[in-house]
Amino acid sequence: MASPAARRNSAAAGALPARCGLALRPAHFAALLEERADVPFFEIMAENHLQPGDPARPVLEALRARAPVTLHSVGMSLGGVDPLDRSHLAKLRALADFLEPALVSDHLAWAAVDGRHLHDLLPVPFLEEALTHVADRVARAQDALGRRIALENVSGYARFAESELAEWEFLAEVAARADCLILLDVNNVFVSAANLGFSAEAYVDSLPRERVAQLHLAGHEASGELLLDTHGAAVAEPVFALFERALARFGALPAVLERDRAIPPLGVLLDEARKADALLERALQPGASDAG
Amino acid sequence: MLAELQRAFARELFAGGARLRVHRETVLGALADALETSHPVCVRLVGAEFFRALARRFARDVPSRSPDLCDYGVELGEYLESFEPARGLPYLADVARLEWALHRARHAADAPPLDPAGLSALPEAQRAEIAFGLAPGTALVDSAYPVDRIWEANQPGIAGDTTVCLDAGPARLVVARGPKGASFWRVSPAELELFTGFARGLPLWRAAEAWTESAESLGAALARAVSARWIA
Repeated sequence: MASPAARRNSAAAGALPARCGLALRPAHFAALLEERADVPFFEIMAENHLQPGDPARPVLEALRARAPVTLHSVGMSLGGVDPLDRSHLAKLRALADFLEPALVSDHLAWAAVDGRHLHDLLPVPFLEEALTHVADRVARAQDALGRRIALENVSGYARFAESELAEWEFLAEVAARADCLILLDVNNVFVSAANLGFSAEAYVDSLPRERVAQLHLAGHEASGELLLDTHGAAVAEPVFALFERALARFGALPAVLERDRAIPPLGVLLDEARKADALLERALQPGASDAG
Repeated sequence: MLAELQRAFARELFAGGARLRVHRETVLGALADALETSHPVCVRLVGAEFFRALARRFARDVPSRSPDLCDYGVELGEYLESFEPARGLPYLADVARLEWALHRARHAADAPPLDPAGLSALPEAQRAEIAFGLAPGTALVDSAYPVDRIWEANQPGIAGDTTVCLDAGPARLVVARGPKGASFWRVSPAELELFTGFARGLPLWRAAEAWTESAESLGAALARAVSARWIA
């Protein structure tokens, strides 16, 4: 019988427990420093902490001493066509050297064009041509950071008619060519599937087991015909169901709960994370996972 | 083809239209949020709704040049100079400049201390040739309006008389990192001119050329700037 540890996915970031961590937000700094809340690890939003005199540095130091961290970037524009921003990568690397994160991630998206930064995660056209381009950028970014990157799927609202591949095919192929990991955001899969009309289950079922290293959970909200990935609500039940499906396929992976709007008190988020923990624990039981 | 598709996408995003509305709202929302965070006094002066509309218009007109939102907004003061709907508040542009300077000071690296003993040990001729610069996060604000008082009267939780007389005179300020975080200090016209010379990279003798007060007071101004780490 496999031990629980053996049931963890081989790609899972080493130092992280197979539990649900929290995306660190300033709204919870005070509560986290005062109460010694049981947070298995923190996901740190890189672009919030790149300034030389980052006022939150003491908070990061205190939490880093308490729990492992992951470093999550939204600014590398790995799907973009502007030259890679070497100065930004150097700052990310310095922050990573300080935090020693168990995982560094960014998105399968672009965020700037012709030097104009848009601060959004914009869709990549899934073209053969883009495949080579993005994989090469990811590989070069990994070299610059001295670390592997986990590439995250984003929420989709518009598609390019020119796309030649499905998103999951594109993501898997980029990961293979760049030899990077995948951070699977199950809420983004759910939102994109609803907005763009594909099967969320087929997406999860098709990703390569050995590449998926971490999962993201968040809430979405409906607006007219669309689902919006607002991170402004509790995780929806069907997203938890998709999460379970992912655990069955990939094994019990570290997960992160993200909340950016209508941020509730820390205790409420921790309760939600415990719900994910219960599913993770179940996935660790012998026979629960087909990930081996 | 990838580049063309992305350029077309960005053009469509800013042009309006329903297809990319979600992305447009995210882009303008992120930039407007950043400006609100860095300019809380301006928000208070014009009201949240007015500021939001202003920030969104600024976000369309002035591109962000950094992946870090903390770097966005240096042009807001200048933008407000010609922002017609805010013409009734002629001091608003300088309040934005003051808030931007405070924002930068808050996020700047600590300045290494200068050694006052080492400075005074230098022969005077050598000292005169030193080109000081402003320390990281230090900036100068020179306004015809009392933006310092306007800023103070619009802090959260302020009590008592918050009336500011616009004729209260100009504000000459050094904005810097201090022992209790980013703050500003009032300086004399002569000091402001001296520090402006430093900011331009002039050697001490040239920056102090127009100094009309006593040599002792020049020494005192320098000592203040060194101990407060305004100059580097």
